[in-house]
Amino acid sequence: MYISKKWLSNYVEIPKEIDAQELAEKITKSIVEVDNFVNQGKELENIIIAKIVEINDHPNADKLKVCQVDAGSMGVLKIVCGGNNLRKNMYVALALPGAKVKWHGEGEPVILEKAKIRGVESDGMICASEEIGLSDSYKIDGGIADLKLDDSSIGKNIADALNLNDVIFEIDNKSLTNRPDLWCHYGIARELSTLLDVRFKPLKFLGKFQTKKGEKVDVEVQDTVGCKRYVGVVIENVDITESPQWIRSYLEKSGVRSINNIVDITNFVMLELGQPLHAFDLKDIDGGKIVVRRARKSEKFKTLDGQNRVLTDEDLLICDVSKPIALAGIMGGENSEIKDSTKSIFIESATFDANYIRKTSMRVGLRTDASSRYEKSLDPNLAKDAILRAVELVQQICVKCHISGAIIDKDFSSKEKIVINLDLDFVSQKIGEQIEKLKIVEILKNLGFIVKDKRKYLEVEVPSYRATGDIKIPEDLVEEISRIYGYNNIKIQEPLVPLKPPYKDRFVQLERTLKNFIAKNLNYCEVYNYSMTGEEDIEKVNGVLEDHIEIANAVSKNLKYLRGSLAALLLKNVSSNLRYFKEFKIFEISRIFRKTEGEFKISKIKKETLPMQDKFLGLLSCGGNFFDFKGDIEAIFSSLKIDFEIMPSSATSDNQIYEENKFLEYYCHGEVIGHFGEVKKSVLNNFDIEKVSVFLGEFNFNKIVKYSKDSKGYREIPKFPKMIQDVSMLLDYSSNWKNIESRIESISPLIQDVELFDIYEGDKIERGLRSIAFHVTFYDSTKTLISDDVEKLMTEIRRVLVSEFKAKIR
Amino acid sequence: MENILKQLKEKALQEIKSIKISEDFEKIEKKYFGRHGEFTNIAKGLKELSDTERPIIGKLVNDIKIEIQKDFENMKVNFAPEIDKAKEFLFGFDPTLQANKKEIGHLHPSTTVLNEVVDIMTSMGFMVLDGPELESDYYNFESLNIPKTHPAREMQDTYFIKTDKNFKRSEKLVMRTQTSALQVRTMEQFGAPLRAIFPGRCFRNEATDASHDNTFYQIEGLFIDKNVSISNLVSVMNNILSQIFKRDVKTRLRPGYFPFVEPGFELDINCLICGGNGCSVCGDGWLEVMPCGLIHPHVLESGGLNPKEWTGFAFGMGLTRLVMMLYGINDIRLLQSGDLRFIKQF
Repeated sequence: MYISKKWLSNYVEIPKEIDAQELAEKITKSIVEVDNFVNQGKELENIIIAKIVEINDHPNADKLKVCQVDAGSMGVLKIVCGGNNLRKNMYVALALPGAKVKWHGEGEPVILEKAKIRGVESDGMICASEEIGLSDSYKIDGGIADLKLDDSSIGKNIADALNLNDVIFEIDNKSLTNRPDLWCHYGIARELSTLLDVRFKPLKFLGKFQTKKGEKVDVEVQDTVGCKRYVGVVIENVDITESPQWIRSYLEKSGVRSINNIVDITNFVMLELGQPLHAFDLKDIDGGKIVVRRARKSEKFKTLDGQNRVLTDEDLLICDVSKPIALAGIMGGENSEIKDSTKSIFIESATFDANYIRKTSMRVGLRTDASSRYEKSLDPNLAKDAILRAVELVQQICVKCHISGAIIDKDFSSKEKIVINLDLDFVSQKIGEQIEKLKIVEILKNLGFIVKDKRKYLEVEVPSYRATGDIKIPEDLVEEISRIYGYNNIKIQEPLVPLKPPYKDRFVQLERTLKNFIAKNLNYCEVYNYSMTGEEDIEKVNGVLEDHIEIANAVSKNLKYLRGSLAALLLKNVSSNLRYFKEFKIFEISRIFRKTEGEFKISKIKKETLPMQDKFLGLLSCGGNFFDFKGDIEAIFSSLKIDFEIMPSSATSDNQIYEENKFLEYYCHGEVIGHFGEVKKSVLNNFDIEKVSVFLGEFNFNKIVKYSKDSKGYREIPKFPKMIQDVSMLLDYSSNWKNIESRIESISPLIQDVELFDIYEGDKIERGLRSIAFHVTFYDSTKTLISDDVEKLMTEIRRVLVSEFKAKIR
Repeated sequence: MENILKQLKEKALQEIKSIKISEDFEKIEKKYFGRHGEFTNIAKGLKELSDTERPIIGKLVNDIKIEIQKDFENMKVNFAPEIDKAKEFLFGFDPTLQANKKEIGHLHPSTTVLNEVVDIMTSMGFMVLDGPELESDYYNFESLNIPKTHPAREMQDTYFIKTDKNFKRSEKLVMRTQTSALQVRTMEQFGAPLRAIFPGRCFRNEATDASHDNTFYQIEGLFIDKNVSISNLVSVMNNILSQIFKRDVKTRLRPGYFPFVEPGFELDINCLICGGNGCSVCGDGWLEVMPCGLIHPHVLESGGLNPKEWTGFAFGMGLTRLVMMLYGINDIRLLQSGDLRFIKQF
């Protein structure tokens, strides 16, 4: 929203010593955020009004002219110009050296210098309006605008001549969400008077005015929830013309296009008071009656912008006896707009319900100046003031008009006042500083509150323009007092708190420990991937679409589902990084989402839970080999002291992405905690990954936390020597090492470790067999072992290998 | 015979590929092509073959020999020996030769910055908690004094979860739009007094560009005790921010509207680049870093706390924005890109 300093000055005297910068800062610090401000005069320095006195052809260029211009006190200047619509006696904008000009109205402004153009010296530049940032009303397509002034303005600065030496503040609309009263100049001026401690000059609204008997309009409000107040007036004998310059100039400052005098007046009142008005052509209102009602299901209506809108029974319509004529609070209809031929008008000033307007505006995808004000919830009292203001302006501009009958006013709004009892100790406690009662009363009164001193507390009545939802409880008044007192004037005081170390959440702590371990000890790079994914990615990893949670309002089909596994996006990371890196290891810890029950309750009282959203650890190695990757995984488990078991398992939907027989599942106390394996070639091809092996693992981090231990303690360093014996044997290739290892370890507690050190398959041995060699470490913590004992155990080991595993000992 | 030749070829190519030091070239040359080299021996044995076999095998031997020699020469031309620091040089040792590159792992910059913030907050007695990213309407909105009609709930801002007869809950489900969703959960679990932060991933259903993403990280903070004031809030914020930015920051409080606080503020710090004089990054010298405010009494009530007894403040930090600010990252999308050219810089 644009706010003009000049316009504000109509209602409040802004002290001269406060410059634009300071004013913007004050507004930002106590009222609303000023995004930006433009000091119009400053942008237009060194640009003056000049009159063309002579036009000659340029000696060296067909398309250029050499003009003599009257620049007032600077005399007659010679200017080279390319404009094709130059005429003698035109009043033009002349930029002199030092002026800021945008070439052809584009890009950053440059500082103009004196220049020779095709051999002819030019003292300055005749500017098109877009080249010096003048608004559209001075714009002429492809040419230089005649500013239509008179000789008295020759040589004057353009800002003074066109009354542009104003400051325009751009207010951040988002920071006005809760302040409908600030969506206009009058409201901001009211706040400024309190903030700057200067007098507020309130508008005097028309008291009595002359009316004549004439056309009449009846108003029937069928939905009094949607329309809390409906005020209207009939004005006859108006001439539709262009607005006077002063109104056009005000609208322009606010970035609103001038249409005609009546429409401009309605817009002017909205920008002044914050109340949207709508003017209808009276002859288009059939039956002399306005009906405010809900639309029927699928009812169609063509708005002013020429769009056909399909409505629902939640939308509010303004109708006459036969047809809808406006979409309430949002936009008027094409069928009843003000035309050049319009003679009589009906002006509407209504209070529509914020929720109705927001819902409709969202649904039809139409936000207007009116709807963005209504959806903040407007003060019903404003409707009456605004129409009085409009009547006053119409009378002033269309002198021959007359008001037909009295003002119609259907008021269903609640007249109940909001009164808050404000305890002064409460105020001091919340602010953290004692603020004098007098000061508090003064601030509240200046802001329009009615304050009664009840000694122990203040009884504060909220003015109607602040009572639309914004101010309800004492805390709201604390905000009013402290922001005007100045947040930055409050003395800073550290809180007093018990000296207690914070509770440490194991889940949070382990996540950090684990990330550090994987990055710093195992040299993986951490990636963050999105939580949303698309059907295509799910299919690429052979996922089941129905198992995935769907987003109801996804914009893109690539963001339609929540990921149920980390695999797809980690594989995408591989394909995008393979262009730059040959081999790499990456990991991610992130939540995945499934339709099953989860750990978080849906609310305190309900037993229901939110869907499963455990954190998962994803590890991926691009290049490398299976057993290195397995070593990384087991290092992670042993760093967290997790007792795990591995099981080669049958295929499930979770491990559909691995090569057959090249994956494992990890278990803790019988519960699966994750799996890993070599990713299938066909899956890799889906991601355009070629000529490289990729190993992937996914582990449930919630379960890792559950089974991790931080046991402290140590095992004594061996006092007695260990004995190591080797075994070499031939085995059927289908036997699996894990079983052999655990079987041998189970033979005796003296067998401390069984470690594989060689494995061979090939021509030197029989087909289908595998040569395996391993060390067996023996240790007795109570004494030195004797070789006889070890030999006995070795015999037993060999026996077991032969009888249970059909091994051929070599 | 053909098979033997092919195996020999594979073996030779493999060995050539794995040459590490220049001496190996000579050894391999001798092994295969020398006077008693393997190919020389085969060539010698050709005369023992039958007349029909001899030309076929002869040609094969020759082709393989040419192929291997080509590979061998290529390798020799492009050979760059691995620098072995332990190896003695024949004529003096050059310690300035480049080191052998080590591949090391890297944490994501957001993780690193989060860890720094967590350390600061923990040292000030705040606990650190985690919570659901897929939230109920109740915790994300209702419990935070965000009425059903608040614009933040509208379709363009929030991702809603689709439910059907096989997958449903008694509450509407959303992807949390703010870490504030954990405020009431935390009050329910820990009661008061309370000091906690909850970092985490948030979602907004909006178009992405260099400064907006549909996924980002926030760190929400909660401080609840008796008689907590605006003055206390400013003090704690100043301490936290000075620690994070490792300098004395100047702060400025201005009005801001968030339904779950009253009064609500936007907290600005003086610009890191210009120090507060105004520049192209900040405009007027101030950077908006932290929305905050005194906790709204309705929110305390949702959390089971009596607002007459307990008071507090809440604050939110955009972790993603903080990371971008601290490292000077100009495109938010890099953070979720998985691009190792980016990650490996941190």
